[in-house]
Amino acid sequence: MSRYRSGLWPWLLQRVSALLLLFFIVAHLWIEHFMHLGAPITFHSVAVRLLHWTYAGIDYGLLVVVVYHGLNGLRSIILDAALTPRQVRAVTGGLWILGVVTVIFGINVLSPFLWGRPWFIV
Amino acid sequence: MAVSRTFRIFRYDPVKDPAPYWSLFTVNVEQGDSVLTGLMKIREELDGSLAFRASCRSGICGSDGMVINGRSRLACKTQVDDMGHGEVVIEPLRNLPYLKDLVVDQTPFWDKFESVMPWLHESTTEPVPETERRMTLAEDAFDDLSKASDCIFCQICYAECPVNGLDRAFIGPQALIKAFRFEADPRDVGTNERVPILDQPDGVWRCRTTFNCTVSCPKGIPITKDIQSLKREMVGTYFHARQEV
Repeated sequence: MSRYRSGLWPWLLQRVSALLLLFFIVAHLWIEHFMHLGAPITFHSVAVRLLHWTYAGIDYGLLVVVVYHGLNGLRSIILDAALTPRQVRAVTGGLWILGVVTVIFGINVLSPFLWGRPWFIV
Repeated sequence: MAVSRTFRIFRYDPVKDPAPYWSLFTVNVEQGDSVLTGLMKIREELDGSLAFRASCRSGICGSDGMVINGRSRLACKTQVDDMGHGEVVIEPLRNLPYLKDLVVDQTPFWDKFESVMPWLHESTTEPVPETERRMTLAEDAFDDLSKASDCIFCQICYAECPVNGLDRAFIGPQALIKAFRFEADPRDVGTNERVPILDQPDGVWRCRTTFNCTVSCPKGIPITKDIQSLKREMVGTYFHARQEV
């Protein structure tokens, strides 16, 4: 049995993504709420901030990590139902598709600020 | 002073009973009497057909694990006085097939226990002494595994584990704590043999850290914590093996 199917990687990456999540959430909250404390939040101010790759990168990172962590956790809950190997593969594949589609939509929402237009979906 | 107490006991003989049922017995118990004492009185004075396991009556043999007032406990370590003023409700351990009344079929438990090879794997490369072989263990090394060594095979952790209830293939907390006991032993070299058993979806990774095992263990073994140590060890052996390739 490969170590991927053994459960080692989902377990390990859940912990790694939890640490990354902590970093990204703190960074996101700090940037959004404390860096310009008192200044009104406008569409323009958000657009200006997201033009900067560092800030945009934190939001892209948060998007990817939160989707992975959430769906990997959901997978481990579903797997408690003692599924057959085929059902496990179906659940894993389905959640991967859901995750990738969610991230693509998320990037599409953020991308106009960087490129001036949506990236994948017009 | 003796007090009259009522015991509501799960009864079922799969050979002759169409369905489980409850039996009510009222016996006099003294202050400080254990639930096991009450069960023995019932069997001696009221119903000789009542089946339950018991042996040492001192919390050492682990035979009399059963569900008492909703929680798995040792009947010999549970005082009737501590069970409130109502009925004392007694059921067989969960997650194991019924044999008769409070006796369960322990086969799945022992099969899983044996699967982790719970014995000391000696190094074959060390020279065998000509006179006496003494595999001594350093005192500080013993601290790590002393609690895990206290396991009395009572099966309470196995019965309280919700994952065991959902997935009968899960190896269970007791087998894992025994694997930990030898993995934590610096004299043991059996890791390579145990990894294929432990590093499986129904091995260490199925544990969901609900802590039911730790809370219910009559010996106070930190089972969940030690299973987490095993998981970290699985990660360590994986990366160590990759480095060697």
